[in-house]
This record gives sequence, C-alpha cells and structure tokens, in this order.
Amino acid sequence: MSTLKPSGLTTGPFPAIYLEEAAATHPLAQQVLDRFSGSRVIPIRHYKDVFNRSRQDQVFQKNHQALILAVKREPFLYPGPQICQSFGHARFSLAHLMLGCPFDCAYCFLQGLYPSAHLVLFVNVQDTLQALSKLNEEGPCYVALSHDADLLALDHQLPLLDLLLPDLARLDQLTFEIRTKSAGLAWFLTHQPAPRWVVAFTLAPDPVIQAYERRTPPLKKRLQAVQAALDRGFTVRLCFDPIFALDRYKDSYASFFNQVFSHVDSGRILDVSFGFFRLPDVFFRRMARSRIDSPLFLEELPLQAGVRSFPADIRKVWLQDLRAQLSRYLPPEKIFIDPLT
Amino acid sequence: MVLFVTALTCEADPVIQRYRLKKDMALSAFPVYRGKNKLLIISGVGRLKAAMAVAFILGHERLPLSDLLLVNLGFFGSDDPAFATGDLVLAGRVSDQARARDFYPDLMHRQPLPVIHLRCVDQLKTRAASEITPPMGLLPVGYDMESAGFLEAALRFVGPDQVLVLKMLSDHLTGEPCDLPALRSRLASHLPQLEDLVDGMKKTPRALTDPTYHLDRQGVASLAEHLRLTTSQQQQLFVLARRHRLAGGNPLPALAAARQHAAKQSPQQRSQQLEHFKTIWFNDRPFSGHLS
Repeated sequence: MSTLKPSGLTTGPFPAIYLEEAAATHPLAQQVLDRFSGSRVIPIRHYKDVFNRSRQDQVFQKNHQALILAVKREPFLYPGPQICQSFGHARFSLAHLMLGCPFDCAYCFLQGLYPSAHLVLFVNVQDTLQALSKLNEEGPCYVALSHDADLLALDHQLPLLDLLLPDLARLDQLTFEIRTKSAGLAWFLTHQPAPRWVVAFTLAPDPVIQAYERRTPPLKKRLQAVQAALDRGFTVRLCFDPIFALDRYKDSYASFFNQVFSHVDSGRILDVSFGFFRLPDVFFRRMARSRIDSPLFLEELPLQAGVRSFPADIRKVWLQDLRAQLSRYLPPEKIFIDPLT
Repeated sequence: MVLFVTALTCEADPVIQRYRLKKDMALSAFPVYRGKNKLLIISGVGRLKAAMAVAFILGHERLPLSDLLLVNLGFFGSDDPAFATGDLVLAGRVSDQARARDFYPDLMHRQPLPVIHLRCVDQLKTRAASEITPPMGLLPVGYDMESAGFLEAALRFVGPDQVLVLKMLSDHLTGEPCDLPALRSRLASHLPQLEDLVDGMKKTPRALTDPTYHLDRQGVASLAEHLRLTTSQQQQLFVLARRHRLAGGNPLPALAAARQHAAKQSPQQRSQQLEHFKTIWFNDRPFSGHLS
C-alpha cells in the first residue's frame, strides 16, 4: 500500500479529527495525522460515540465538518440498493471506504441514512481489499466505491484512491465505479486510466445546482472535468440523477442536454443514467425534519413501494420527454433509467 | 437565548455584572438570574447538581430549544504545565469518570481556544491522585466536577452544536487554596472572547433556518388549545403552517379565522379541521406543485 503525502498545512481543514482507539495504530491513521499535523486530535472510544450522537444538526456540521478516523467492522461490502442502477450487471455491491461528503446537496440521501454530517474515514482499507478479493473469486460484479462518499472530491485532502488503485487493478472480475460531482482536473492528469474503472460524473442544469447542490461546482466546470477524463482515456459515465420533474425546470433540462453533448462527444461516453428524485420514506421524513428550510420537502410526494418520488403520471410524461431528448445523442442501450421508473 | 450554568457564585459574578442580570426572586430551588436573551443558573458543586439545574431550568422556562445555546462556565484544574492559572479552554471531550461515559460537543472552525479532554470527577483532584498521562497523549487533560452532569442533562434537550463547556484554569492540582477574587477578575476579562465564540455558534442555529415566525407558532398553539387538538394534531398543523410559509403564504389569517369561528369540536371534527387547512392552503392536492 502507498502512503499519503503531507498536506503542508499548518492548520488542518477540519475543526477536529476524532481518532478511534482501535484506529490509532493503523498506518493510514498515522499518515492522516501527520498530513494534518496542525489539527486538533480528539481520542474517542468508538466512532459511533461521535457519529451516532442524538440531535446532531447536519446544517451546522456541514459548516464545521470534522473527520473521524475509525476501523470498519464487518461487513465490508453491502449489496447494492434496489433503487440504484446496476447498469446491466447481475451482481452489484458497494464498499464503505468513507462516509460523508464535502458538498451540501439538499436532496442527498446520506442525511437520511446517517445522523451526522461529519466525515468518517475507515483506516483498515486492507480488510475491504480482502473482502473485494473474495468477491472477485465469486465472479463478475459491479462495485460502487464512492456510494457513501465523494472520494474524488475529497482526494485533495484524503487521497484514498491512491492507496487502493494498485491492489484493485488485480481484481479482474470486478467493475469499479467512482461517482463524483467534483470538477477537479488534477486527479485525471496525474493518474492513468485502468480497465474496468468507470468514472461517473453527476451532472445537473445550473438552476438545479444553484437550488439544491450547495458548494458543488457549476456545470461548466464539471464538463471540463468530464472532458479531461475522456482526453486521458478514462471510461466515463454521465449520471443525470436526480431529475427534478418540476415545471420550472422543464426548459432547463431541454437546454441542459444540448449543453452537455455540445461539450462532450457522446460517442466516447460509456453510458448515461437518469433517475427522478426519489428517497426511501424513512429518509424523506428524517430529512424533512432537519431540512426545514428546503422547498424540496414542501410537497407530500406520493409513496410507492416505500419510496417517495414524483407522482407516476408526471414521471411518465417527463420520462418520455427526457428519453426522446437523450435518444438524439445516444442509442437506447446506453441509456439506463432508475429502477423505480 | 444563551443559558449559562455555573457551579459557584464567583464563577457567575462576572457574567451577572457584564450582562446586568437580575436575580429571579420567585425561584428558590436554584439561584437564577435573568437578562435580555441571557439566563444564568448557579447549580452548586458536583455532577448531579449540574444535571439537576439544567433539567430544572429547561423544564421551568420551556424555552424554544432551537435557538438555545447552553454554556457551562467555570474553573478546572490541571497538572499540565502548558497551562497557566487563568487560561481559558474549551472541552472537546468530557468523560464522566464514575460512569465511563464520554460526551463530545461539536467544535467550530477558527475558534482560538485550546481544546482539552475534561474529566469530570466526584472529588477534588490533587496532583498525587491525578493521572498524568492523557490517553494516547493527544489532548491535554483537565479535571472539573460539573461538566458531565451538565452535558448529560443538556444533550437530552439540545444537540451537540448547542453546548459549550468553557473552563478557566484555577489550580495545578496542588491542593493549595485559590485566590478567588483574582480568578473572578480574570474570568471577567475572558468574557469578550466568550462572546465571540457564542456569536460564532449562533451563526448557524436551527432557528435561523426555520421559515416560520414566533406569531405562527403562537397562532398554531392558540388554535390547538381552543380546539383541544392532540399534541400530534398540533404538530401536524404546525408542519402545514410551515409548508405554507415556505411556499410564500401567510398562515396567520386562516389560523385567526378558525380560532374565531370554530367551536370546541369532536375528535372527528378536529381531523376535518386539519383537512380544511390543507384545502385552503394547498388546494387539497397531494402534489400541490408549490415548487413549480
């Protein structure tokens, strides 16, 4: 395993780094502490003592995001959720290398899934690598590495992927996806593309980004990152997810696809996915309580199979329209739609 | 609203004087002092008394919890030579030594105070009895007698971003008597710094993100009392009022009209009343399109 380079920071980017007792002896924990040697380090017994506290305010924590260094206990891999695409793969798993995201998207399911907005870095990556090796022996599988964290957006602070890439390259039955809203170019310029690695960029029209995706880069910057990745030979997927089926964004989406595919050669894209805004009911209700200022949770969105999303009739009309627009750029087999739709 | 909890009168005096707080003579369980957006309670020494004081004042005052900040201000002891008498610190971890429980108040960026691991003990610590080596050597260690009780009670009501444990070094655990007038004066000199910290904490309180106003809450409470709504129904009505506010509406006229015209109602009629508000505020559409 490689090592993290020092950040050169005299004061850390985190108001505190919480260090779990069991994580203290792991080399990666020491590397992170060396890298952010100016940070306050608070020893903790178990990461859940901080991460799972009651009544945490995720809005406050997004402004004062701490880092928790912890040891991941089993299971190291989880089955892919049913409301997410598996892109034609029979098996779909996800790995928890990190939890949390530096961006502040109003709709993000992490706010419903976890009680805290702090970042958790699991320092025992070797255990996850072992689990992935075992998965590899069982046959082809699609593995989402950044399902619960935007690893590329955090890469300038915590270059975790550097530690994993050499080992993951040997797992020839697994297809890895790293999904991101980051517009950073550096990672693509300093890394070589690897077979069976898919970089998935989540894109949205600028009005949607401004309304719901606080702290994320604008569309133009993300498209530059897409172009950089393609130019370096990376396999690129575009994710238009979530789609907000609201009348006021209808024109935005129409011009959005035009903007995307005037910048990006659709022939070089692996595939695209799109899905309407959807959340498990329990997440929706939790988020409605904490995001009391967000118009997103104004609506009593209908419940279907435990998931809240736009009404079926509206989704149907939008689906036809969006599919028709995307068909101008991509063949049908390259267009994946969320399983709920 | 900022609620200060101190153990001793000499810890409270600088706050009382700075904010010109007045003693509430109607309360006898604990000394309580009031001022504009400030409240102070003197708990007495010890973890249990601190917890009792917090529970008492929050139960008695029924303060809106969303914009509340609770500050445990007081003295602590430490044998860490890095600290001098009069140094102000912030607790990043508080351990209840007797019960092996830990509390972690959320910390902010850009706060200049040293952060310590505060161990809450039942008896005064002296150098001979202290544990000199902090766990893993990562945080300086200090000792006090109230912080764990304060947090145990406070975190039942508010979140970890709404509590501050601020302590000033009173002694190096030598057991020698402290110079209380000097400590009081030193604590007073720290209050401007404390205000900066409190202001920083108040920049992102939940209350600021709430689109409803005090009058909305009053309107809902008044109607709920008049109609004898259940607590659950009152909460539903408040959520409807909040949604209406977020959508750019004003719930007050409809609430006032209902208060004026509706007589006391049967349980079925109460449910119908909630449906009535859905109809007039959202046209009774399950997907109202208010976002569009």
